[in-house]
Amino acid sequence: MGKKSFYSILLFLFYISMNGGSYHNISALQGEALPPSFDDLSLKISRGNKKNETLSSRIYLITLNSVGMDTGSFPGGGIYSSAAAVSKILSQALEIPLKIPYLADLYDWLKAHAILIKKPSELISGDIIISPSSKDVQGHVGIIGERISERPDFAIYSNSLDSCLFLKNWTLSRWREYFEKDLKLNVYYFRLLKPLPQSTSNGP
Amino acid sequence: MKNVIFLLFLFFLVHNSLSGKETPLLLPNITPRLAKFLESLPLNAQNEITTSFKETLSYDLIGDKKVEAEPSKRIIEIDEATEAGHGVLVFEVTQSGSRFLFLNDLPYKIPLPNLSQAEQLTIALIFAEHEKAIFVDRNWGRMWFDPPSAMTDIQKAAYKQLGLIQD
Repeated sequence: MGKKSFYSILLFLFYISMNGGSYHNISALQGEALPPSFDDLSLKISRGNKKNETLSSRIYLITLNSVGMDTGSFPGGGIYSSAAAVSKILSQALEIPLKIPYLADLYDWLKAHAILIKKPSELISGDIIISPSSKDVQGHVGIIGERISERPDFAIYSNSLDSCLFLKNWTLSRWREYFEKDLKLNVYYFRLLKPLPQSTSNGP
Repeated sequence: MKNVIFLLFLFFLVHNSLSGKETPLLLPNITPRLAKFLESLPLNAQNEITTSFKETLSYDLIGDKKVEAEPSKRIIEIDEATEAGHGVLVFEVTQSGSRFLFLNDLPYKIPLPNLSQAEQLTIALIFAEHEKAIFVDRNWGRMWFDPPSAMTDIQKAAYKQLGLIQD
């Protein structure tokens, strides 16, 4: 082994160690569609709060932990509670007292505090999908979950009116088919990028 | 024979238009309770309300109530169900017809500033009565009061009037 090869291997090992022992491109090359494990997500969160994807990962982790959450005691009694359920999860992720029972208010809050994602292909787990109500048609809000196909398609977690529970109950393709095509509502995607200061925490 | 059938058809056509009768618009996605209630309203009010309805959604009556300060005016709340959630359509009905006011998840936040205090309280009371009927085991004292911004004064007033919360 020549000196050049030795230093190349040393450089490679140094690179691996700086990236926390993981080689991200490998999973990307394999086209991994499965959701990350709870441990992976916890690890990502604990590594630093400044990366953009970290807050989304945190929202996603709390979303997974919230599956089965009883929304019956929320404003709207689980029946009129889609905004209340999502704002509860955002409240936990941001560690602020956020309680927004109205879809229109949650949409305004997202416009003020999150960035709009224009293409579904740019979505990541933990983003928020919202179809605001029109003048006379009720909309809905949910949280983007794991990627389920390369179209792209994602699972969506939201309040279920049948059971008054927070569940994985939509997919992106079905959401767009129903809310956009059938009900003629707009579909928007938002991403929260950083924790909010306490002063902006109060809901409408 | 063809002429007779044509004349009969013409007779029914002219007869119906002269008698001024219109068939109320009742869609299959309306519950019998709502259909019965709508039939009790003047025809123009029925038509104005049902024009807000979409064939793919379903509708049920939440309640109706006279505005205390203006007995000629009624507030009607109708539940609109999509595959994902429910919303509340709020209408005002007077002698001259009806008017769509707004749609909201919960009608405690009144988006129209020009409604009187009595109208706002009526809107809140109808929904609070609905909640009282369907959420029988709710701890009303714990509901929605924290943080206070999520609980409007008009909702508190309605809850107090129904005896759900105390001062």
